Amino acid sequence: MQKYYRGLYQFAFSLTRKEAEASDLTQQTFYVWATKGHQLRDASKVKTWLFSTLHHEFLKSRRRQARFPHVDLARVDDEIPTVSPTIVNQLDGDTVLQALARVEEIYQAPLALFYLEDYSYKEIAEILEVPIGTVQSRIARGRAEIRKVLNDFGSNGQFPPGSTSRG
Amino acid sequence: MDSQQAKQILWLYRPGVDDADPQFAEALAYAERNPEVREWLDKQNAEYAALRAKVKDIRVPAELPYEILDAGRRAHTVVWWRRPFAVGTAAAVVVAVALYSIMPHLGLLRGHAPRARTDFAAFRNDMVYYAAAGYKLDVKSSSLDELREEFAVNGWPSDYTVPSGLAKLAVRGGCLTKWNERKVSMLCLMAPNDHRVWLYVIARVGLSNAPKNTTPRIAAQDNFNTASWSEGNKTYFLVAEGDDDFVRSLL
Repeated sequence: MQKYYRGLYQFAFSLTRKEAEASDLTQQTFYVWATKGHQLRDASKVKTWLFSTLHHEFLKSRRRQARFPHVDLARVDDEIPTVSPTIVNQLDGDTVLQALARVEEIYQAPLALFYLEDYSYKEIAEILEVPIGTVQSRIARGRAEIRKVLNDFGSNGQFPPGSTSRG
Repeated sequence: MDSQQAKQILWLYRPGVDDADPQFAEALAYAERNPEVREWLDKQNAEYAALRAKVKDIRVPAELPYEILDAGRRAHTVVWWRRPFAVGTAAAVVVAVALYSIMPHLGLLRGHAPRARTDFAAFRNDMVYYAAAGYKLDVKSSSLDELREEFAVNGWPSDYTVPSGLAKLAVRGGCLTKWNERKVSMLCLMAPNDHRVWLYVIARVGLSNAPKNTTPRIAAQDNFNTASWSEGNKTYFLVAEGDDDFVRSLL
């Protein structure tokens, strides 16, 4: 727990944007671990297992039944200007998470892991239980989206109305 | 490869995380040769690092470790293998976490460079965690010989040497565990003072930074005491609920 609760909470918070909900998810994850963790046979997979469990619990809490569609890796617009250091300096963690909430929901979890943890794409794919190509596609598209949102924020000092995602 | 292709690939590149990922190697080499792509990549990397730092700065509630402990206590009521000592140990770990979280050097945990997950340090961490987490015995036996035989039959490390002090303890059984796809024999024992002891045995070859010492080296870790050493083609890692003297008595 010492090693993982912080990262788990941050992942949960990036998904829920609510402290209470993130705390509940983190606790629930450790509860599942305490009751089912012994089923894990490879000790090196503990961290991946915990993050995967948290994501499961998040999806359960959202009562999401439909599986996300597979999205093929497609061309992304790499010409969107990077978020300037000036804009970045205006941001805090909450603002970045607000921006994350404005990208398509299916991009949010992979994007959170992309920024939060040192996971390889293969590990992110294992956690989210989707093919690695899908993970990369979602992160590529999600990164483009969050960049647009942050640039808009930098231009206007606020997030564009009506762009709030289902978060 | 042209500039556009290189950018498409490097769009997903994270400095310090994906350096060893072969899918980026060619594009990274291209960027080194192409100043325009290099400049573009530098900006991407700076943006990534800045946003990552912001996200990793999300405040974690100070009371969270205690709430997790409560969740653990709830689990304790339904899981037979969770023993009071384990909960006590967890409590101590939780308190340590809480204290640790307010210490200035916590910053060391943030944004750390990715570590190789296959070296002995990672093995140590994972094995302590595994012992503390709870497990089900694959082999229930009170005999070291039987346990060794079970490991041998299943192709797990079995030609190990059990230290004389350890051989005097009550044997509970063992687990045929894996770590990064490598087979690890886990011996579970119980001391007369009701302290649990685990001995992990893994092939030494391929385990980077495996201890070179044949005399066990004792060190505390996460409220346990541990001892590590290598002998022949095996590396040994002992985890115990008890103090240094107790661990020495086992070796």
